[in-house]
Amino acid sequence: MSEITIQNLTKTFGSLVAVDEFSLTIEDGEFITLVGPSGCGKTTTLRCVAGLESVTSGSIYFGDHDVTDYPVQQRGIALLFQDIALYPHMTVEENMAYPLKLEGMSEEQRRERVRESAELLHIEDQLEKHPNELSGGQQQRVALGRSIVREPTMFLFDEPMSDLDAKLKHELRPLFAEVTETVGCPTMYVTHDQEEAMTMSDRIAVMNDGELEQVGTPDEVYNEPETSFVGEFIGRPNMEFFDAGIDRHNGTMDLSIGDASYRLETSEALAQYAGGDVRIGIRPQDITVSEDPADGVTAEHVFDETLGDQTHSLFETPLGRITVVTPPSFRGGEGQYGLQFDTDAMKAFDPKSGLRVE
Amino acid sequence: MSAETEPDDPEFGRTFRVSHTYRSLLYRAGLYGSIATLFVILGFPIYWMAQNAFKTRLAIQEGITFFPTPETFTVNHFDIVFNPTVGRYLLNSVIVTIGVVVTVTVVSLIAGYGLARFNYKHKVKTARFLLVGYMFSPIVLAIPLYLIWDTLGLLNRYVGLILALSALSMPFAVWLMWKYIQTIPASMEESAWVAGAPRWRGFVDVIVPQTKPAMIANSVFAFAIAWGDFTFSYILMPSNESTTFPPGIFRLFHSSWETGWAEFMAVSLLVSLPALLFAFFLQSYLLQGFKIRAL
Repeated sequence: MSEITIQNLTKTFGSLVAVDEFSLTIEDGEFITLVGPSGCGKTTTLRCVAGLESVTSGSIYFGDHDVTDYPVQQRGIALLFQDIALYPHMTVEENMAYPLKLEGMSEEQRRERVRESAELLHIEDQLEKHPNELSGGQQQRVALGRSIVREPTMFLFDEPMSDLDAKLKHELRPLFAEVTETVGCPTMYVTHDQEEAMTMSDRIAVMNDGELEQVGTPDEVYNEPETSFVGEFIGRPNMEFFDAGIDRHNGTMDLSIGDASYRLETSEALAQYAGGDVRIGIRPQDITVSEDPADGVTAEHVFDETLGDQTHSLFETPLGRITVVTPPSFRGGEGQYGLQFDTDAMKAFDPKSGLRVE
Repeated sequence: MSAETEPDDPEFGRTFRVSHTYRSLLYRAGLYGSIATLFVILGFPIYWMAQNAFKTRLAIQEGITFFPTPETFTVNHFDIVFNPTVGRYLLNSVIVTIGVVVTVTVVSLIAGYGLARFNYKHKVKTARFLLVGYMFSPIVLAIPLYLIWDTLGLLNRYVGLILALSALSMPFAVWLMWKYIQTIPASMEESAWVAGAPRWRGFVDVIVPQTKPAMIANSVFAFAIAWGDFTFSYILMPSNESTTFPPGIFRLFHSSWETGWAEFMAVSLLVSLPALLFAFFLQSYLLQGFKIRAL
């Protein structure tokens, strides 16, 4: 087993560019999540790496081997599908043994290997059953088992949990992590759920519109988004964005959002925007609510979403509607408030390209 | 009921309504009525055939009776099966039917898979064109076929009739299989490929076992076409040696003074049985096969 390198991968369907110049290296044993909104090309990327789609241009290496033109059968990957794709006419054991049967392994060896995998996944008492007799979670386990009976060169997940309920997701996440760690090969996990991406990955690759926006650890993509898209896509509730004017003033930068102005420390990059506009992103966690309407941005409370451990409160302001994370006991009662932004938590982006300004 | 309880809103509920009790009564009457009608229309000929098969020839000639009495009851007519000519007809029917069922099942499976999994230009148009064959009655198709088969030397040969009858059932069978295979997620096959299976292996191991209901529906359909066919066999199998049962019995009926109604009834009854049993035992699969929304 060794790392997977994807170089300038491009895939077009007619005139539609699904994946555009995608490059990424997945280290051996690394768990990378490819996350993005529907239609951003993440599943197409995965299918190209798997060999289920042909590549328009670019190359894919498994270790030193160029596998770009290898058919899927010869890549030796494991792939978990969104719809699980167990064979309904075979028992759990037959399902799990199928890859081994194709390899021509003897029946005795097959039984042994299946039993080993089944024990790892706690499904050893389900082997005689048919897939339709199992619950959704058990079916996922069987599908996982079928992929790991053979030692794969790479583990691919194609939104395997998007049809499952929240409770089951929580149950399966550590299992996926445990199993991929045991198998120890590079893992690419595709999902549209940023929470899944944040909780499971070593590194996250955020995709938008066929292009890679940012690759980094969950901490990096959350705290230091390189584009406004990443800032908005990662983290809940969504990052709030404002158009702001910026001016240099006696060694500091003055930022004006609506009527309020804020003082930022000067940075070289930011200085280039002096006298112009910049786009400011701030997370709802970094906005505080003041009882005094004159304090910061004037806001009229609209409603609260009570979550128990915190409250998401929506305010109507001259800047548009803003969501703020407030303490659990906060009840706005549709009154007038002032919103204060934490200047340290503000992230500035280029208003046109959406790239981070630092 | 509801019309009277809503006097405040004259626009609402003024339409003709039947109360729930009457509605369910009407529904039942309609249901049982149609069952009874169908049963009489479909069942009476079979009943008539069956009861006459067990009566002596004299009893049939003497007038209409609805059941064989102990004096007129006989099973001797079934001996006609041992008549070498009738035996030959039956054998021909069996061979042709098996040939048609096998051909239709195998070809529709492959063609259906191709339509479901590969895309090429004018795919749907070609598939629709297949159905054009159903616009013509068998006789319209059979006469040109006679000339073609004559040139090709396929007259009076099993393979000739098998081809002709398979062609007749094929459009339906291919469409059914196409739509059925479309309901099997592509990811199932893909997971077989990922596991290392070549395409044909995925087809055999993953697709074919799952198409069982459609295969059975197709084979029942092909069986019914082949076993009951009169026109094609009559025209494409002109010799007495090679013809199948339906035209055969027709020949016998015309050519013989010896053979009477009772024998015809007996042998017809025997011939109807396989079709009935075939459909009866496979009906649950048959329904599954036809249960595709897209069709």
